[in-house]
Amino acid sequence: MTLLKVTDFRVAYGGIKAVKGVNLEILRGEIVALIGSNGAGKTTLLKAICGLLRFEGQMTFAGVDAKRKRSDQLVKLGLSLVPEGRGVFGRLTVSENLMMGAFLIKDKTSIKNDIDRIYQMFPRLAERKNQIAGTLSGGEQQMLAIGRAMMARPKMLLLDEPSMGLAPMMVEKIFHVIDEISNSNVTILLVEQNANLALNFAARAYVMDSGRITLDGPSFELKTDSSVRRAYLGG
Amino acid sequence: MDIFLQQLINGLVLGSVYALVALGYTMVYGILGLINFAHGEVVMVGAMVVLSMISLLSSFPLPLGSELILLISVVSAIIVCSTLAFFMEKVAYRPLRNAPRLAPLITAIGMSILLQNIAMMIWGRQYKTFPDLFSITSYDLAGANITNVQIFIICLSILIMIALLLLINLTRIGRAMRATAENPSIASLMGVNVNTIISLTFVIGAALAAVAGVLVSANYSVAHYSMGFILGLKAFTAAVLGGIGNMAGAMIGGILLGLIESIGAGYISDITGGFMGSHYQDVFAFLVLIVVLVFRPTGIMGERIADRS
Ligand SMILES: Nc1ncnc2c1ncn2[C@@H]1O[C@H](COP(=O)(O)OP(=O)(O)O)[C@@H](O)[C@H]1O
Ligand SMILES: [Mg+2]
Repeated sequence: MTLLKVTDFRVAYGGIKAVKGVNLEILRGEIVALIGSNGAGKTTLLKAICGLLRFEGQMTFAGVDAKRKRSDQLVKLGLSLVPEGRGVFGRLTVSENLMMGAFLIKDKTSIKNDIDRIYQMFPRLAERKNQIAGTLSGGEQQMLAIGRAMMARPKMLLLDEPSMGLAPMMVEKIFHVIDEISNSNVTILLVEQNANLALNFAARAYVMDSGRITLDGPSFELKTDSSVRRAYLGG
Repeated sequence: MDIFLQQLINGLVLGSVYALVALGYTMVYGILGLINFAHGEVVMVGAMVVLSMISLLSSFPLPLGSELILLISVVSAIIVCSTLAFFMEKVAYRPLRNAPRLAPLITAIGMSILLQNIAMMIWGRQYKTFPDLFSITSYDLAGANITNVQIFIICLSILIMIALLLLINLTRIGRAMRATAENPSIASLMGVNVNTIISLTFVIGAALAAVAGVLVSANYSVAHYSMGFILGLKAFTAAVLGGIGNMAGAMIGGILLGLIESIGAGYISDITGGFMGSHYQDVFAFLVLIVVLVFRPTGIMGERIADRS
């Protein structure tokens, strides 16, 4: 069953076209990767899907026409973004950040249970729960950003370069958690510049270049594709 | 009479009013990066509405108690001011949300002039006196005088500020306001309707301004359509002094500015050898503004400006 579908999706910054007619279709429960070099338009595409930028074309999410919906309405429908550069609230504490993630959830006990679950996933966050988020390390901020997005109980999680700037150990830990999340029935769209990582993790992938999807298919096929190997896998 | 202690009391009274008004400037700046120059006029409207309501209710045939009259009048002022600020944001500032920063600033100045003129048409050009609802009693405090009105002003302001700090720091909505001030786009990704939070910020700021309007006109016993201008400018100075965008800073800046001003006014004649009298009081506020802007533009509690993009 289709969860997210975008058709002829176009986004521009003033006159500069950054996304030029993209089609995506993601099914419930899938893990899909979106790879592409710096400046390909990946972040722009995710931001527009989440309602942060205006787009032309069509989009449906969870069976609802999602065009012209604001981000807060899309969150309500079950779409959450872990933004590029984490975007934690640096002046709020770790636990306040998590509570912000649960902004639309009314039931206090379920919020508390969810927070406990996140702390189990990331014990480092539990140790630092009263610390101001701006003082966390990059990896801890990434954990917090993921935990915060999960607090909204999303149907689908969009992750924009969660490995960016992290040490290999930390990347491994983060991806382990993303795997866990996906096992709990959350659909995942993972944007990565690290194509190797993404293609090993996701079952299926799209390749984006200069605002267009140039290739898509099962990861194992893309991994052996000569143009993908040359452009994104270093030969 | 102890001049220093007396000026300290006067400064505290004045400072609590500045603090209430400065909070409105700083909250709006924190969330929009906009200096809402029309905020002083909201204070004036609050004062005017209270005066009109008191005289209206006092002329009622049925005898209402003074306390009840005051309460109804203040609540009316809060409602009028909040509504005014709500529409001001929606009509004048929201369409300019993504415009260059100069545009909303000029609009704010225009809004300030517009409101002054409308107030002049409604309430006239003459000074309006605050009716004697309550008899003023003066108490002796170690050689200085403090009136019941002054005690009321200080206590009410402190109560309101504590309530505001609790709201901002301990509630879900307060948390959303802080998150939105830090990063509106990310806040919206949490499900926060940023427009609602911005409206709420204007409404809360206006409610504080309405109370400040009541307090200042009760303290000086007069109100005038132009009273918001200088008061607003001084409260803005207080917000800058405390570090614009920072709420605790606005409170501290307000109190501090009130103290500087009134202690300065108490001694200006001595300092200048009688050349300048206490009516030069206003000089201090703007001296403070210039000194802060030159030497510490981030104010007392302010963070690096680079923090906000
Ligand atoms: N705020 C912006 N204003 C103008 N152009 C932008 C803006 N953000 C990104 N771009 C441009 O859009 C293109 C796509 O950028 P982006 O979506 O960030 O790519 P990616 O995430 O794939 O690295 C780039 O050419 C970039 O320069
Ligand atoms: Mg990017």
